[in-house]
Amino acid sequence: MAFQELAKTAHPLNVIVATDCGSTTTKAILIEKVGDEYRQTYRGEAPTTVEAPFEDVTRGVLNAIAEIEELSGRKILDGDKILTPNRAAQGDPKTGVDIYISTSSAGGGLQMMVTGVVQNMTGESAQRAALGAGAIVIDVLASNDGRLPHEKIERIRTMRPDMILMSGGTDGGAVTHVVEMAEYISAAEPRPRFGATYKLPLIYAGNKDAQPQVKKILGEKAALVLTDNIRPVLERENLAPARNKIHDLFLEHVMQQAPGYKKLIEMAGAPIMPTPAAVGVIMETIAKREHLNLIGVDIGGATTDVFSVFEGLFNRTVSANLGMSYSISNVLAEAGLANIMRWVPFTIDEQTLRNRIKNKMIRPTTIPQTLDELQIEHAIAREALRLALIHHKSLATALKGIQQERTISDVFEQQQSGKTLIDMLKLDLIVGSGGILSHAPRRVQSMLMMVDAYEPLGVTRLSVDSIFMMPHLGVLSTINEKAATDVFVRDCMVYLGTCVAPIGQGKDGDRCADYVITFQDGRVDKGTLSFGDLRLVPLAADQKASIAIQPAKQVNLGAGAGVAVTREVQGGVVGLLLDGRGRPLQLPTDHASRVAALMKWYQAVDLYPVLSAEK
Amino acid sequence: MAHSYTPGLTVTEHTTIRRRRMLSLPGSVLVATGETVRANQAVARAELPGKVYPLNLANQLGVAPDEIHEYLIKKAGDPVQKGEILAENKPLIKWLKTEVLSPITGIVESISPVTGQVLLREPPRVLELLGYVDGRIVEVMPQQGVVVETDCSLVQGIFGIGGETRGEIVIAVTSPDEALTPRHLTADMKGKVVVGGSFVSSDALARAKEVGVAGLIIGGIHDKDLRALLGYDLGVAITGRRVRLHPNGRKNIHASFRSCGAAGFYFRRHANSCRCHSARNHHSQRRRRTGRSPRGNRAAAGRHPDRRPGSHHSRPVIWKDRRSRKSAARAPEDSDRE
Repeated sequence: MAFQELAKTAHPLNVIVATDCGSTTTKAILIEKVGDEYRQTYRGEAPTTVEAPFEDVTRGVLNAIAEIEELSGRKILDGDKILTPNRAAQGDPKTGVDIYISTSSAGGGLQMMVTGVVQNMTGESAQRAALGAGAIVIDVLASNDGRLPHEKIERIRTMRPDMILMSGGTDGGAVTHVVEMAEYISAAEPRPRFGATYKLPLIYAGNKDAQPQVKKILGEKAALVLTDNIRPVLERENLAPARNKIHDLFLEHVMQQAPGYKKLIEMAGAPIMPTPAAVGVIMETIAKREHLNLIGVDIGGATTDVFSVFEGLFNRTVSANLGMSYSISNVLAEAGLANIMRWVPFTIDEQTLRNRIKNKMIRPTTIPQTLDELQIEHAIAREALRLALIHHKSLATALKGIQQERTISDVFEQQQSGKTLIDMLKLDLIVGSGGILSHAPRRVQSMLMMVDAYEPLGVTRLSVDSIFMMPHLGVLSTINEKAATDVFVRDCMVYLGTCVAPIGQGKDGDRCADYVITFQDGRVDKGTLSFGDLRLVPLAADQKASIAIQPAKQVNLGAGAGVAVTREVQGGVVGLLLDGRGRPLQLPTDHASRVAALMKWYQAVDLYPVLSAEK
Repeated sequence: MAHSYTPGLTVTEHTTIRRRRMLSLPGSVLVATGETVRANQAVARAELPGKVYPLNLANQLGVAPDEIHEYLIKKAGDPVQKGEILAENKPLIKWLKTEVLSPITGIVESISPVTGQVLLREPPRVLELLGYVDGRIVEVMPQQGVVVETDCSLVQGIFGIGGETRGEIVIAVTSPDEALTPRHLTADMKGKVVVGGSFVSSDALARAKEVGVAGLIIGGIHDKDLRALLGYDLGVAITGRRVRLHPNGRKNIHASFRSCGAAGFYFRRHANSCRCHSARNHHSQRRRRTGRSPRGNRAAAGRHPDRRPGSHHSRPVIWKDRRSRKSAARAPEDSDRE
């Protein structure tokens, strides 16, 4: 992979400064070697400056690093330059850093348009290739997407992607459709988002027999790169070559054009990574190291990135219109007012709420100052997380359109190809990252936001990125795995606890399950979980407990309805959450009952301070 | 009320600004360095390729794609008129003849023997880039655009709609606290940029349309009124059908007094209280924190005819987070000078 180049340094890495240039804020962290291990020591943050009036991403980077300077007392900047290497050898250990590294999703990240022949076959494969490379897919064009030719051309003309990925056809198959798409692209004369004079990077990863025609049609009009077919045969995807080309072109072309990125690339000692790609590296590493099925989420200002690893298969999606600042209006539009307000234990008139949301959109660094504002933000976050997971489920699927062998036993259960790979019952760990989750005033708020949004089934562990540093560690891992692992284990990952959620529904107060929790010190906690109950059992991060659950007759904990389950559960800073609210989670429909239910749940887990005082 | 920090917004009586005026595709620059230009004068020009109309001749004639050359009347590069015959077959029986007519006036751009498709293109459309401010050209980027410099007063807003406009500035209210109402808008404001106060109501918006003002600069608006005005819900988005503004293309359309009809909106929370965003307060905050003088990039503006220093509301800037957030945006090394 392009990112796994050696860093531009020969000296040992003892002091590292890393930034993540998000769409709203630029976050800098300082990592220092303390004894034999690396630790994250200081953090700085400043508004991102990729847009007008600054239009230079490095201003925000320097501001964030300047904050680290102020907090740590270390001299890192010399004017607009980062002092490298660290001057410890010259007897001045408090001056300079050994390397500066960065990730970026600012300015809309890497925006791609992809094309295929059949929308849910090569179109989806192309989409997965682009998403896997950390891109935002702004549109998928396909021969059968229902749009007329002139509509396709008009769409290509109006969207200004950073890059186009063309796919279509299996090797040796018909070339007509993919050539037709090349003709549309050629006719549209697409222009890149940045820079008026450079050619738009275009990767062709379709039927190899069509390469000469595509070259003839598009060779002059775009910076054409030919690579292996992403779907050489219907039964197999080959995404790696296209993803690598995307990374290469991102660094060679796109980053050179974005405001200030040329300078940023010169400042950095290692290639700049798109933020979703860097977080993906970390998520994949966690899943592989601990042999887990995992869902990870990074909820940002403009986008929400979802990652999953199920049975070793990694998938990543970037929901471009779901976020907590720039995209907050779209969360309202997509989720609907009712869905957002169902999580808020008070009433607010629609106009006030809409005005608040728009104010957040135009002033993306807005931070809630009152409890009701915080509750509204958390409500919006729940919906953004929920919608992003739905999007992820639709794309993290098995290949569609492939031949399936059926036996007589499949007569009564014939499944279509392309089933989602996300199985919430097999899910072991949910990892949350992003400002709203990492900076929630109480960790239990992060936990409940994820539980409400994802509705984990059975027994699921949850964790959160302590102060939002996964992107930084993702890029660090490509140059120094030990440093990334040390910081990840000691400073980044905060285990919140485990959620136990039986599947099934019942009347409030009816028995959902009986449980017996046996703690490591021999203590035993027996109880009955009723429907509508939310219970928090303290269990510290370094503790484990055994929980034996006997669900009610119609209730399932993964082993079948009414079948008892015994599991070992791990603690966390929040503890063990017993969720008897039923799955699928259904909130009362009438206002008074819904508010009462929310108040009961929020008080049960001590979610907000005012509610605690009332209690 | 939530607090936010928005870097770079400025209200200043006198400053020198530089505006980069760039074509979105290569073209020709019409002015030279040192030349004086007017805001409404074209400084660069480009030709936007015309719309494309694909026609699948192979399908329409019922022949194989590689055979269509035998049936074509026009060849690639030929001009065509709407209704002109592009291709026809030659059947034995005359009434079985099929003619394919051009749906547009333009040229035949390409003919594909692989797909049987003919692409027709309408004539190009000329795009003219205007000067945006009255000023002088200080830099020319061949084929791309120019930099215009001018001395002016500057008021930056955070957000605007409707693109660039220009007109004489009229102050319609007596203080920034005053909301703009229909009675403030008179017929003589036609074609002018009207500066309102803290808030604009839907009635005042309707009246402004009726009068035909060139632009409105105001401190606040209800989201529902903005939706009614635009006809859609404004959302910063990257993909999908709701795309209206893009995070990167999102122009901080700056409320200014001469050549831009954009507004410094603040969506109103409560009917009786409205905040007007003050860049000056941010700057004083920033100075306190960093000791550095703020120098944001400024939008174009003419001289403010009635500038009253310190007339905006105060909005303290507080970072609230797990860790201390002390830094503020650093002054950009841009071309603007105060």
